Amino acid sequence: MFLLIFLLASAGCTKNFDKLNTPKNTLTGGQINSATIGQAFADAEYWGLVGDGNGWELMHELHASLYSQIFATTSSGFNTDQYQETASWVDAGWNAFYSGPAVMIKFVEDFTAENNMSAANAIAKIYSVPMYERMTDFFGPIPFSQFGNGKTSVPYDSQQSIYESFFKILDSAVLVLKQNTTMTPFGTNDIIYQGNVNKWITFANSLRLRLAMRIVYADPALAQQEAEKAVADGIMMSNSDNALILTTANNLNYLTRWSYIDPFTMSATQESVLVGFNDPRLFSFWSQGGDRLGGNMGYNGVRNGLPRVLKTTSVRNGTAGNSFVSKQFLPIADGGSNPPCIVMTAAEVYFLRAEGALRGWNMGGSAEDFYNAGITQSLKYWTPSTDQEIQNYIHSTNTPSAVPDGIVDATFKTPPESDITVQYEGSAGFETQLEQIITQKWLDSYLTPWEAWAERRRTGYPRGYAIIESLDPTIPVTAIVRRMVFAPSEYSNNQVETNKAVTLLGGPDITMTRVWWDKKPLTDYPDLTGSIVH
Amino acid sequence: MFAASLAERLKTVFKQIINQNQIKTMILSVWCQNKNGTKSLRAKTWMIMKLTIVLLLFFTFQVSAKTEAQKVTIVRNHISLTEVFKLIEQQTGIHFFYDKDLIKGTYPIDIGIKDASLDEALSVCLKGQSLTYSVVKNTVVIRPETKTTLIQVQPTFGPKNLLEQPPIEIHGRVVNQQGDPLQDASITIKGTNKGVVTNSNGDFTMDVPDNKTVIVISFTGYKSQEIRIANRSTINITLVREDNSLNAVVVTALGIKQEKKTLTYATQAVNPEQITKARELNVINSLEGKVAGLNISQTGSGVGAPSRVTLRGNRSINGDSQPLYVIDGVPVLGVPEYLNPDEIASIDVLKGSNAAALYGSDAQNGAIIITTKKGREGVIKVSLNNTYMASRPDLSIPFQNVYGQGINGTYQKGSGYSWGPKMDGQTVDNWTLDPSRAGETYSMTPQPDNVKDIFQTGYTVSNNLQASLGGKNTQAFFSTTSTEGRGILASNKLQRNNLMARVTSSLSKKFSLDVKLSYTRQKVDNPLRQSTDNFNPMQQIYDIPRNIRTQDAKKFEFPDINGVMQQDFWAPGFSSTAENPYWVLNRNLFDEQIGRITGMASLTYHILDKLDLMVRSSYDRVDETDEQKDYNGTLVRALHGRYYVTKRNNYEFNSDFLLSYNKDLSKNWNLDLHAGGNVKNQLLNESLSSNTGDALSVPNFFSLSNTTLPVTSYNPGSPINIQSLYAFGKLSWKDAIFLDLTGRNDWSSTLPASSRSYFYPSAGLSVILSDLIPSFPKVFDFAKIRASYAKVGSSAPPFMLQRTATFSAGGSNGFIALGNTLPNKNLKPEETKSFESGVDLRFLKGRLGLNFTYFKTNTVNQLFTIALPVGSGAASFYTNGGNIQNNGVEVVLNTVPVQTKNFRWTLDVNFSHLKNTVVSISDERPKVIIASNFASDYVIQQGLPFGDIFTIGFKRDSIGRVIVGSNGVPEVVNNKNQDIGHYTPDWTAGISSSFSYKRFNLSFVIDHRQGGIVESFTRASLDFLGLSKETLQGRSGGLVFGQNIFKNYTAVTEDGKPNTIPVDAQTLWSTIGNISLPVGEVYALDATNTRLRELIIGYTLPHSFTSKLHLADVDVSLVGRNLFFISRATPGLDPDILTGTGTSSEGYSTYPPPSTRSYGINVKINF
Repeated sequence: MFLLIFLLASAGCTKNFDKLNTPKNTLTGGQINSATIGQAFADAEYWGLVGDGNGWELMHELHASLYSQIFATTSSGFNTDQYQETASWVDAGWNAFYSGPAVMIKFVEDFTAENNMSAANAIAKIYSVPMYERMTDFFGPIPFSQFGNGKTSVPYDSQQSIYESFFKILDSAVLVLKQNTTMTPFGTNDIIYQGNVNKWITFANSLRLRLAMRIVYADPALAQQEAEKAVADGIMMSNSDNALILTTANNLNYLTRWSYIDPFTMSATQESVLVGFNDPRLFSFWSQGGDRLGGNMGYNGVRNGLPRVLKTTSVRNGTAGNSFVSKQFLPIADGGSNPPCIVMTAAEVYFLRAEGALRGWNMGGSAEDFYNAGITQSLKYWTPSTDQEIQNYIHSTNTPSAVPDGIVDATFKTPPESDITVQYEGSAGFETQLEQIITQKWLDSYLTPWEAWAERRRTGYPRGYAIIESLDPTIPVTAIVRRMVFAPSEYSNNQVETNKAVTLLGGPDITMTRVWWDKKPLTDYPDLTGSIVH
Repeated sequence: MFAASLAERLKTVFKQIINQNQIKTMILSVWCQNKNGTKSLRAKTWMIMKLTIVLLLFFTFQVSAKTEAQKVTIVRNHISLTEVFKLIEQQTGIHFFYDKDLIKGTYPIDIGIKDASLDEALSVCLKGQSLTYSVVKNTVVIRPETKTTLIQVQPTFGPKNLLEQPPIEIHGRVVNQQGDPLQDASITIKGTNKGVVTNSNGDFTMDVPDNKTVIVISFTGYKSQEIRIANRSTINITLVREDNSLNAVVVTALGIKQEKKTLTYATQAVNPEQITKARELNVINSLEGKVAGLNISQTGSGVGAPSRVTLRGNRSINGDSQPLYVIDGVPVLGVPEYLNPDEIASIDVLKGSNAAALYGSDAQNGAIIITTKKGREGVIKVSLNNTYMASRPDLSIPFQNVYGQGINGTYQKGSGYSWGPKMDGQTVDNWTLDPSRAGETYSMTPQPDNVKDIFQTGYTVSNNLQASLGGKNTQAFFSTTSTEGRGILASNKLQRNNLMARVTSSLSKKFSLDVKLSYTRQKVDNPLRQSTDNFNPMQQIYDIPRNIRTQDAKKFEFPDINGVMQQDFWAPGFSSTAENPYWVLNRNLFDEQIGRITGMASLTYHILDKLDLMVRSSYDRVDETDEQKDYNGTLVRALHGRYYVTKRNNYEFNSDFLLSYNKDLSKNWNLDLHAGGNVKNQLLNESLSSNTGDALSVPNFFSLSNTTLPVTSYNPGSPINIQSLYAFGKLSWKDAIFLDLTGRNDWSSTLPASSRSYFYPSAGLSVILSDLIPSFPKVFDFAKIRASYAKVGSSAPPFMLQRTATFSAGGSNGFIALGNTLPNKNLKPEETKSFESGVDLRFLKGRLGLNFTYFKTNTVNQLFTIALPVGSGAASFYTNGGNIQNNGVEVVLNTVPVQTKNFRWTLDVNFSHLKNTVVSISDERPKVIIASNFASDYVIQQGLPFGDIFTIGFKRDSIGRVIVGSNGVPEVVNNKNQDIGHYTPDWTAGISSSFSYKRFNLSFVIDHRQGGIVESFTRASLDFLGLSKETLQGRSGGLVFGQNIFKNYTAVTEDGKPNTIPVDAQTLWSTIGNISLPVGEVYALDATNTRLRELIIGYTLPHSFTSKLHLADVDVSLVGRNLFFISRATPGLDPDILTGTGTSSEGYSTYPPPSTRSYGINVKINF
């Protein structure tokens, strides 16, 4: 009897197995539809450039923000500031991109294509460009055209072909958007432009200008052609055009969050420029030393590449005495405002036009006008400055200042590396004007350090300080790190193609190999002396 | 008429026996005088005693007794046993010896045997008569059956009889072979529940209904005896120890009890008595060193820390390779670490998948079978068991005590390094951040105790009260325990309450019931957080610079300008994981509460004489609540305070039935058959979690509403349903050859429809050579060979068949992201194929026993993820593959080297050796990294042993010499490609020994672990910081790598010339210990060690004393656990303390707490 009941009961039970084995609080891939595709796109928008806390820390904080010399670190465990890579960081950053937002942007592209959502498809394609641009600028060749092949081996694309593809993607996407200007693809789920097609067109053109300038030393003709095309088609003109990613308590701007958690401080280079220029952004960007304890110890930067044993304590005023990211940029929970993440600003576009004009391209105006407009937009974005204060700043002849003595250790008392003024020196040589433009662009790229690092490699500006100590005997302290090495997991999981990628790179897979667009003759670079006054 | 002739015949028989020898003379005289009843009581008693002794001698020798090869032929219907015996006597010349009253209770039989051996003939005629026999030379002794069988013997008389006749009062004493009284031995009237227990003198008094009454005398650890009253009023009994007993009953899969001698695979039992005396908060740890092939390591979370247990090594790439735990026949969730040792009646370890094949999926790593106590018929017993254990940390990591805070020999008050100046009393600035103490100075001197100062003596106090109430039809057992523990760090506390009730009842002749309910509540304050973490106090404690004074460090907070308390710390910002240890202990609070309820009810229906049906249901539920309070000022992780609450629950519901049938197919063949089915429903990891984000609105007020940013998440958990049908059959021939067959089919909800049903069988054979072969050498008391083969299937984790997409908060309307793992719609069940064989031998009348087992398992079709290049669009995919092979040997030796009247010494040794090889993984990916940390990767790679650890190594030239850079520092390969070996020991051994002398006893366990390595991030970090003793040498330079430091390395410069470049300690160690890239090969520590695991010295108080206190009995024991290392290859390393219970936590040590030695006292009082 019992047996019979039991058997009958159990035989009937496997019917609900499929239901039981389906998760209750997650969707499956097949359940995403045209109503929820927007959330999938939002995921790609946010993580595509921001990444999770970890991704930020590993790719930006520990590489770009140090190599761009916006930040320096006093953490004894962080060796990238001394030009020693930690393979697992690269791995984690690489994986954060390729197994997260790269999957989602491709999913959105494929889904919108299959469902004839052409405007949405065009926006997704446009946004894939800055995502992959950041990655190729870090590494050189990367998996791009074959991404998502579902195979155990994935080929890399050369950087040149990736950049050429970028222009084509923007061409076709802008064409599609121009036919759909009344639509609002993704609606409010689009956490950059809320589905405003015209803004996306402006952004696409501005992006084209950035990409064009990036390749100017590698393919000047294409650069000029694409830059002029971009300007002619309509680009960002004011901060209202900025491409900013909405952040909330649940999707933070991690740059500031991590800068505060880990010991990342203002770099001596930022201090020299901002203090010397008497720049209002100094007070916006950085806190005063001792601020964590309510202190008021002034603005104190730290030299990049401190020897491990010096990183810890008393380089200037004790660790607590250094300047950290300003409180207003912290998450709300830490007493800040959780600023939006930045993809691109109108200020950057003006600086790009200034450089284009300096190069004699048709940018619709003069280098000096664009330079001043760039500063104006930047100060308006970052500071509460009045128009008069902005005018005063633009016409200031201040130059970068020396970094003063530390209280405990005077070893790093350092004169300024540069003597450029804030005021545009139209009569100076090409390199000086370029230095002025790029230095101002560098100041504006406070929250986009990956762009600042790329531009520093491309042009050599701003003149940073040599690092104090290099842990890699093959890299001098005066060098600028040129790229990140391929992720070690790629050598184990994608070995054949990674080896081919080294061929595409055109040099050994080391941090000093220059990527394809990094072609400016090193003889034209400013001399980084790293001079120390003893 | 019949009786009279029987008496006559017996007389004849015994007359013949008298002529045989002296003993028989004595027996007869005793018997005859009893019959006549003429002697004085005293003389009678004396004679009965003698009879008893003689009988016992017979019983003791029965195993070695051999039947001579006489042939018997009897074909008769309805013949009485006496007639059968007579016929056998006639045909063989063998004589019979028995109590005539025994025969009175028997029934006539039909018999048809031709040319049978004596054994066969006797088995046939005694079958079902509740009698057994033994043969001594030419005499057959008939006696009551004492063997415990599955089938209960039906009562021979009912309560009605009890009322009809006036009861007879009997009294007596129960002693062991040494003549020592046995207290608490139970005396029950056979077939009833009525009974008494002996007092501390071993004496008892009871009423029995009549002279035919058979009483059963039993005592834990001794063989039970049955004795017929037969007109005696005084009965003294000597019980024989059951150790090495071949009749020992082992609880095997599904709760089926089998005689140990019939098993076809290796099992090992653990004495539960030691577990209650030398008490561990986590009862599983008590098994350490006692079972061959069992490895236990603990996590470093302080009091009540969970453990990792493996049997015969790791075998699962994706799983954790831990065994299944079964309590009272029912599998439980996870590890029953909160179980109260006082409730445990027995622990049997079924080592291989052969032993556990019937449990299916969950038992491919073996099973640990725990049986809890029940009430005993006729026994009313109340006892109190108190234990107090103190524990002290074993702080043996060598620190330096010469140099203070700072770098380059210069003092820096905010430094986390101890590369500063020599501490010789110079006046320096105090490090405090407290503005009101600005300008304070102090004299810098070595603080050798600043680490030690933070520890305290921990303790455990445990009080258990248990009552066993044995009614006639219903017996009950109640136990309640309260345990309080305090860790070696002040904030770490444990409070545990166990309640357990079990009721067994014979509802009627046909039905019996077993119902159990147990509840455990445990609260742990501040379990130590693991690994490199702000909240791991061990990291903060070990990292204290050598000049920090305890009195300063203890002032861990101060009010800031707003009056809010902030952390005072010497090195804020030194690293993102550094804090003041006193702050962590007092201001980062973390409580864990666990409630576990287990219920079980089983009903057995005795359908027919040998046919039973058991139906059972059980429920096991664990509820956990974690609460975390971080105060304002917690550096880095919660600057503005944080409050966190998580509630988790897991449950398992099992329903099963088991049909049991036992039949003698013929005189030689017996079949024991069990068939059953099970439905298991699990829900794992349902959780609800809520936190305040990183900002409390009102500082240090811990409430979920005290925030503007509450974050809540709910995980509905993973349901698993597995349904099974199975059967187990044991066919035996002549009680000497045993064939086991099992088969099980599972249906699992986590597998795709095509493969969700899977079948797996096992087969085993054991042959008792000593019983089978008459001419087997007499030196063996017992000799058995055995072999078995099993296949065990295992299903997959849930939700592997679809690619998931996860919601997360953020943006305007949330985000959706696809999971990283590609689904596999063709998943197959994992399979372990296991073979084992062995021999069991006994010599010297059971005083020497040897078990030897060889085993080999192959776990194939393993479910695991294979990493894809992430550019493929996914990080990994689920697949089946791999072949992990474990083979090895286990040897268990049991000896009794000395046994005299008052003194007994036992010595048991166990040894195991395991070889663990990754035969294959996958053609695409011959290497899987299952875990990665700063220092090492945990790697499973084709051709290597399971779980080799890879670390960063020195750069070497083509002939293996270390290359040193121009600064004298060895160059490092910035990649974890140096294979430093694995954690699994080469072999392990344990020695357990006990000595008993009169009222004293002493026992100890020593265990040894040979080989295996642990990668220590702790040591790297302490070197890096200049804290370790190693960093003393060469502070001012002069270290030459490969010459005066690291002498066992050959070092050359880039150009291949011997290295002569001097370097200072700070430069050298900050490269080698570099906490981002530690040179792991330097920190591969040898885990070899021998330790005194357990020591118990016990004394039973004299009755003359305890009786004055109106107590029945008092035992006092001094106990010690983990008292000391007899030797260890690496000073300061306890390789048993890991950072987690997962496979990948093996062999990686990062700031674990020190091991603790504990010692204390156990008092057991019986009322």
